[in-house]
Amino acid sequence: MGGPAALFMQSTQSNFPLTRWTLLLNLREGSPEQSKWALETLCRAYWFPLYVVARKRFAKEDAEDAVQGFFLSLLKREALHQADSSRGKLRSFLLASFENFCNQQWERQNTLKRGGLAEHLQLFTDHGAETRYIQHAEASTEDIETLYNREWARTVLEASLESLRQEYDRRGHASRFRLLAVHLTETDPELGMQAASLSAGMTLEAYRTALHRLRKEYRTKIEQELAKTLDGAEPALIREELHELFRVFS
Amino acid sequence: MSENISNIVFGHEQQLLSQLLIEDEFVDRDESEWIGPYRLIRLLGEGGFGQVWLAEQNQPVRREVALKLLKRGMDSAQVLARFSLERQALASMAHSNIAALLDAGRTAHGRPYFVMDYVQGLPVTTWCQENRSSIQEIVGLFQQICAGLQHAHQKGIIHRDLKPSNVLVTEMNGVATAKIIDFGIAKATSDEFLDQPWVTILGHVMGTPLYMSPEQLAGGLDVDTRSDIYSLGVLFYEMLTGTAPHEGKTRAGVSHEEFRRIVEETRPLRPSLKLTEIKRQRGIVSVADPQMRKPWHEIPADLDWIILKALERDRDRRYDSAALLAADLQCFLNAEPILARPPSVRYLAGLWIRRNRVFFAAALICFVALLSGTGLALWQAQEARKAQARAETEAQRSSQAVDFLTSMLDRVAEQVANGRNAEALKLALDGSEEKIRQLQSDPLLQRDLFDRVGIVYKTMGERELAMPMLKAYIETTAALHGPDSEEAWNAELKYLSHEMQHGARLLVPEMLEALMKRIEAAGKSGSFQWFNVQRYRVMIWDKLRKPAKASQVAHEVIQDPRLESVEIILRLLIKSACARAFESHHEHDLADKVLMDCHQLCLSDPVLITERLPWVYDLRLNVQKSRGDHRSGAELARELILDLKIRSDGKAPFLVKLLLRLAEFESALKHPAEAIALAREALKLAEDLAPSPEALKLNSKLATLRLDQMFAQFGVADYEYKAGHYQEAVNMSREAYRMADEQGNKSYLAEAMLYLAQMLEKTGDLEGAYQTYELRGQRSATSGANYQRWHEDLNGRCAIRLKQGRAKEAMVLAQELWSKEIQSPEARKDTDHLGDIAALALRCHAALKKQEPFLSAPVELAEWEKLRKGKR
Repeated sequence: MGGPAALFMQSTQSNFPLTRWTLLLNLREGSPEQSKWALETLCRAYWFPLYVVARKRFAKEDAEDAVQGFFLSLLKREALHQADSSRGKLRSFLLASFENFCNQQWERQNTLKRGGLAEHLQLFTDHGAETRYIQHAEASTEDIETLYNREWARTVLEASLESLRQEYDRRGHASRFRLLAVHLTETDPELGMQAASLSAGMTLEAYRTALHRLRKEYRTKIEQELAKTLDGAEPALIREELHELFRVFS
Repeated sequence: MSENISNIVFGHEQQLLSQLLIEDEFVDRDESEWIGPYRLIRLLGEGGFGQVWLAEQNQPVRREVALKLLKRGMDSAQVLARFSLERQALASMAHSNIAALLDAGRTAHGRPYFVMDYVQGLPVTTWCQENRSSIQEIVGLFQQICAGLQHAHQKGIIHRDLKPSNVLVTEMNGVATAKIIDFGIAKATSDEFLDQPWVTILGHVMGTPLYMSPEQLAGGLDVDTRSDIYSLGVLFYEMLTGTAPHEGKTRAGVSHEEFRRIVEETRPLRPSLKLTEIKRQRGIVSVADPQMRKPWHEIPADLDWIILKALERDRDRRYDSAALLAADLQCFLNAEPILARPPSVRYLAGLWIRRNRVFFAAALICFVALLSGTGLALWQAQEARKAQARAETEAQRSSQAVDFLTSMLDRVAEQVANGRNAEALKLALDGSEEKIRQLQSDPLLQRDLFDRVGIVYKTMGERELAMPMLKAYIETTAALHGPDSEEAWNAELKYLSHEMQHGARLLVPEMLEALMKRIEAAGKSGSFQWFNVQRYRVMIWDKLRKPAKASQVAHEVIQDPRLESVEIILRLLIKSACARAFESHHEHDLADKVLMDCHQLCLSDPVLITERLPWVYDLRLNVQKSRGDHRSGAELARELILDLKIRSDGKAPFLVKLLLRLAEFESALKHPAEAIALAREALKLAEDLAPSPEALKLNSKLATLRLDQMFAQFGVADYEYKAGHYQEAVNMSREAYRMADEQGNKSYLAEAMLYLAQMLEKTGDLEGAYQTYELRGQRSATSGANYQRWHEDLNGRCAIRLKQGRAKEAMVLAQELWSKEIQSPEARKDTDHLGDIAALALRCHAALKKQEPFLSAPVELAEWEKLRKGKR
């Protein structure tokens, strides 16, 4: 149960920042296990955004199948050679690739329908996708790329936050997280702080500091997520990516 | 939990991202405690620019300061360079209402910081709320702020970012002192954000648009000190009413462009009216109400004008300096005349016309379309646009016409809804007669325009102005079709009908007879037009209250054998007019007979059954009523109701009226419970049948159903009142008011408010009634209502004050009422009416004399006495 977020974070267990290269490397040249893990990681990050793209073209079942099919096709080495040599971000590459896939393979083959390879690999499927689609994107008139980027951004934000929550949970600060998390989206940071600090049993000052820390940690998590799509984890790149995502929601 | 995570993220992506963009620049508390000679104590707040810390200074003197640390990434060299230009001036600022800027520099990491006086206080708006400051106190604070600002302006420093969080109030020696903070910083840092859209920082308020002057919003323009004045205006507005002028319109999703347009194009609601609206919305009735955050009920008008002058969109119209603003405030406190005055009607109208050229034909077509007897009702942008499109095609006819049309008005909608619309429209239409006459090449268009302008004036209530239009209409028709053509006759009849309803009725019978003779001379006696003229002849005598004459003509017409061959509808109209004449002449049986005839007529035509039959029912019931025969009336009503129910499956809107009629009869028969029950049934039916807003848009005729509902509510209220259930009566009246308000129809609202006021008065809630009248008066003023309304309101208020024994206030109101009436040409003609007012005024005077025998007599006293004598 639950959206891509919960499922996504399970993949981010490693301690060093993954970049797209790591992922692709694993996918292409790793052991079957590593390969599968890399594919799963990609899946969890991109399944829903791609589903939205597919859904704008196809009906529900077909959209599901398209996304499945696409990921499976990634296992084929040729696709990844292209990814390697293409400049730019992984997510853009995937979008273009997927659209291509839809145009060519899908209409011709109609293979990979329920059954077939999918069973073998027990590929990740997002069951809440349709509901989310209806909520987020069905009524929208934006272009595909914008929608895709938005959903992807949301996935990143959610997954990072979820990961953070679990960490706080492990530390025994689950309730504090709940209180603090609400403040993340406050436009007026001072609003309700007094009351919240009381609920948390902290002084206002301490509360502020805790919030501060939360934000820092959140940011770190996000950086890790973003790195997976970027060439590296340098601050300048990250900043630029954040800016771009910001614009996507304007 | 992941659903919660989704909820936190969804819809807030921008906020989260912008925070992240800004966040990482911040100093981690543990890292460095010292910045230059300042030791950071704790974080006071954060914003889009960076953080504000409380810090301690040891050298050269020990004190607490506020240290503003700007975010990393700002080009500190540039920022400081820009800052240092003003630094001299900033350093030389020394004023008790300004938080001094003490120092500026760069951290070890190269981040710019500014050091200011630490002001421990609340934002001025919060402070006023929490202290429940009086108006005097608020104005005093405001003068302080002006003083501070003036000082800065004289040094050539513009703040640019005045808002509540930048104006703090602290107590110094027990005196509330306002201090402006953050001078100069906005300018120094402003360019940083130039290439990012301002919306980037929406969450972290950088120049929140609410307080930005129009020129700031437009960007690019040289911003001068008057921009600060505007922001002051917004601030003051908020201090008095609790909200900023355009506050409701900055929800997320409103773009910078849209907001700017709103500010440029809409005039903010007067603070006093805004306050009243807020009170009304919350159902606040008394000052003691806990929801009432301000200890005063209303804002004096002069204060309104001062604020509005500061809020002028055109900066040349604002106060030139903070000092002038403060001076005007002082005048206000001293009850002296202020500089800011309500913009004169001509000025506003001129502005409006200059700025907006509403497509003239669109306006006319709009009016015709909206003619539903509800007065200058809703201008809807979409209607105007549709009409505009239609008008454009119609206007293709000639380029002269096109020129004429385009030289007139443009977009109507919001402008008109904002007040002074009637005056502005009038001015725009001024001189249209000449202009239309110039369109000689297109007489058809001329005639059309004369017709429509006439209707426009009629709808505005400007009967005198309508007259020449109608005359011109007749002339052009006669010229086009010949003076003895059907069209010419119809035109004349139209004119006479207008005269009959609004103008010099006395001449109409003669003119009708003349017309009749002309038609006969053309050999058209007994024709449609001829009979139509007969109908009007009956009606005019009725209107002139000469029942004998009316009845005489009616007899002639009724006995005319040719009547039976006239078209059914006209026949129906004629017969009913005759019936009415008979009724007013007390020939009830005959009236009844004729109406039963009409009844049969209706039944013979399926269209008439739906459209006219209910109306005939009504007339029949009227006869019973005027006979005083309530019992038969009730019986008849029951019969008719049953009939209509069967016919329409219980769904005919007219049933509402019939039920109310029956209730009237039952009430007259002293069956109060029945009356109430029937009225409630009517109300329920009206509610069930009430059209949805969408349906109303498609067919504005359905609006009468809403009216029915309101009348049903009045009915219930009346009967409850008669039965002694006062609370019920008041509740129902309030309900009617609430509904009318919800729908936004101004004339229903006025009706409902009047009714409520009267009901409150009847049930003894005098103060409530007074306030309702007052509110009604204010609302009428904004919608440019005709004279009748303000007359009712002033009259009502005066009478109540008199009842309450507050003779002095009553006197003032009476004088105001009198002077207004004197100014209105229509009122002046009606000596009966003026006599009533004089009587009221004299009563006030008598009461006042008892209370204050040595008070000098009002100047108007002689006139009043004269009128009263005249009456006798």
